[in-house]
Amino acid sequence: MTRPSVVALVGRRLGRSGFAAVVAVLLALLLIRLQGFAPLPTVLAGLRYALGDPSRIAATFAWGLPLLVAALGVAQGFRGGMFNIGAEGQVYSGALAAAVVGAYLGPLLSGLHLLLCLLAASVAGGAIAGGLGWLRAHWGVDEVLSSLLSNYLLILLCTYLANGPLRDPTRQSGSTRNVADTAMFPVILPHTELTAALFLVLALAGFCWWLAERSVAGYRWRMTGASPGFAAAVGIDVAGARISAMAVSGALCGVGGALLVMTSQGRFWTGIGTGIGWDAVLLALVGRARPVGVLAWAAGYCVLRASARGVEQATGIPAELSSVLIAVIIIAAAARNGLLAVLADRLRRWGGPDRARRRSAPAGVRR
Amino acid sequence: MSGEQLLRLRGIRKSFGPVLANDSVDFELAAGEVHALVGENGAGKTTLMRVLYGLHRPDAGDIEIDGAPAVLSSPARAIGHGIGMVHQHFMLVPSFTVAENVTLGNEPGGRVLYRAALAARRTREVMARLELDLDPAAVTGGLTVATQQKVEILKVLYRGARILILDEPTAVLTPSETRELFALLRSLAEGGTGVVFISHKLPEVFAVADRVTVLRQGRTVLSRRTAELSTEAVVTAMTGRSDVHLGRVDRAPVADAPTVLLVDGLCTDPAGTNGGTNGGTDCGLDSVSLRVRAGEIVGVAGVDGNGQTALAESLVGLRAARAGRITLNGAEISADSVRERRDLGLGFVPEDRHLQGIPLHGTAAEGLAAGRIRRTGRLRLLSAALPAAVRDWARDTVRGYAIAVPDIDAACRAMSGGNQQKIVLARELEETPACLVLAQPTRGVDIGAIEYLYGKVAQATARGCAVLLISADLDEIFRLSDRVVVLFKGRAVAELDTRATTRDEVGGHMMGLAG
Repeated sequence: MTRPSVVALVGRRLGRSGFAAVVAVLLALLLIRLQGFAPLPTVLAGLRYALGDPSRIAATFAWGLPLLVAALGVAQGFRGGMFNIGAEGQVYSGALAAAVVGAYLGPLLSGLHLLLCLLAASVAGGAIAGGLGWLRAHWGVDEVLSSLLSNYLLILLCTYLANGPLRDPTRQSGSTRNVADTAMFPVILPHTELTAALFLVLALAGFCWWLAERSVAGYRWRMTGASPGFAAAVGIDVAGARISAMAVSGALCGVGGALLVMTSQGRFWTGIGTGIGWDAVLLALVGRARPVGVLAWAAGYCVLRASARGVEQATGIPAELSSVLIAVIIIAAAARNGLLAVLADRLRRWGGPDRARRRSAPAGVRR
Repeated sequence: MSGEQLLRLRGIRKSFGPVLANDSVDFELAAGEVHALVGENGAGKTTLMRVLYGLHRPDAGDIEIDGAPAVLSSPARAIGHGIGMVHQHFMLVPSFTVAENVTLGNEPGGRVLYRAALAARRTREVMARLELDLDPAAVTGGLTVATQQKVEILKVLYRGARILILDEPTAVLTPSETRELFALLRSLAEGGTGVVFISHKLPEVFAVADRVTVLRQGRTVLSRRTAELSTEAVVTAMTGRSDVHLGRVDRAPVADAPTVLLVDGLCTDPAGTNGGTNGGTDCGLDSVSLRVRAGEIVGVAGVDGNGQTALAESLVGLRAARAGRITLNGAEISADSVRERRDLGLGFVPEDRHLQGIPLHGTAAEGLAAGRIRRTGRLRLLSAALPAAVRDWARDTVRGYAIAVPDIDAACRAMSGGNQQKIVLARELEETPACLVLAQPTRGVDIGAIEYLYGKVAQATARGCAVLLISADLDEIFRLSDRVVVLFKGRAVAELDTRATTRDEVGGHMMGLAG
């Protein structure tokens, strides 16, 4: 009458995820080799760039904080059966909202100002995504389509605002005024961009885990997402669960956008997002929408990205290598369950009847 | 009748982790016989059939086909050996024609172009063997469930099956359709095909099978000719107990109890499919009125698709009523949500267990605790859904209802149908509802579990619970209910005292014949 041991669970997860990571590493080595460089030293140089000393580590992970929050948000939506791929638009909206509150309100007491900025960003993102959820729940508008299209609308709207009414006249176009210092997270490691936002993000990650996996609200979302018929029959408000899952998802994406402003940029400008919303969707996918998985993949992605930078500096291989690799990881993670499972099965059969028997048992259970 | 041996399984053993699904199973099938495979849920029937169809590889044991050892490592191999399977849930493409479905994956002619005329001719050839007359160009989704089942059988025979496995084939059929199916199976057997018939319904087993093999806890406990057996002997072999009876469930008669559920002139739209269980559509209700008193069981009989789904769903609040009133203990609930109705004491066992009854992707605890979680206050959204107290309660419930799961975090999809249904019923009864709506409560559940579920329902009525039993199974209605309402084309065409009426009378009303 016990739950499976934590070690076993973590081991199984790692086993599944590790496969995709191994494929990616092998491909990285191959691509570097094809460019005419020695693979291992190059990769090590990249890793040194990413993780070589404390300030490097801080820089590597500081970059990923907004991404992680947005990815946790997308994952929350997935758990509620809502495919929120409007994360990019919600990140932009959250960033703009935080930048406006940060620049036009204040300077205030720092803690309060931070809170107000984050609140504005989460309300902006949450209202947008919640609205899309409402359209789905009451009018049957597919949230995949509506959230996808909302990206273009919102990014263009934010671009207009930053070029028009909210433009900082002292700068070139496309940028809002700098936020007050009280709206910036304090740096916790000198000479790096690692800010106190780290604690906020870790707290949010823990909160997301509790919310999705353990809480009453999470139960309603998960049941609505995985078994909507069951949810309706036992009296869960399915429409409400869909709307609230989307709203929370959007709020977290908005906070992700706010962190872009409040930890490094200090203002909103039209290129601020750089696609972290899209990366967030991918991370939520490969992390199977589980907070722990998302956290692990986000950390891995940060290292991958920073290493690619390092490799670029050392060899001139474009840093876009990291984009190629993340795509490969996703394909590998997806294929793990299909094509490659067939190959694994073949290998198992070649392994002879005795070994085949022992190994086929768990595969059968999973079916 | 007993031709040469087609199939022989000896000492089949298959375990899934700690669960031993097949311990030591022996099974034989001769050409020209219908061989029934019976056993309670979890006895290992499904595992055995999956082994035979190449979906599982046995841990130990031998499979012989036509006297030669065979390795069935994939469904393709199994089909190559002439094994065909008709699944409980049909594997048909609804938008395809009959000929397209029959030939799918093995189209006659070249690999590139689909040759409709040739496919239709081949389909007709198979139909001729069975003396069936279907239009090869008919769209499958528009056919009745019984006809779709025949298409499934055609599909299997088209691939040259000599061993035909049918998993619970009568679960979706009316009595007359069942008789038709049996005639078809008999004629197939006379043509030399070996038929494996998996069923829970013993009268059907005795009506169609030449031989019966009983599995219990993964072992073959009985395998004899049907003519040498009695129903009691088979039930005893299945359950390991000799005290199971198949008569009316003992209940104290209801005196003049107050009305709990009152339905007055209920009308609904004929919307949608009926939950996806059998692909057909369900007609709406046309001014249905009925009442259920405290402690009473009222059966709702009718052929599937005559408004049963609409009745269940509109009572519980999943489907809006167009007109009419529903009152529960005197309070009108017609406009209430599912949640509000449940809070007022309405329990519901849905007809589609997988879609509505249990969280198929969740755990036993998550399925059981839904009622408790529903009652969690608005301000406690962030509190634990399954705190220690609820987990303890779930453990007690699992024990109290004899639900056979390794622990309360076991995945629902890995459980047998009987155990899944016990979870549904346990959840509903633990809320001590004033009124319980049971929709097809024992569909796909086996005898031992059925007895258990009936006992629990009888206990609930003893404390005053009103039960509306919607069932396509007349046996069930006659065994449990006090009165029976017959639905035909969405209207309540008759209301009879179960003890004063006959099956034929109810059956006549089910077919819409007055009298």
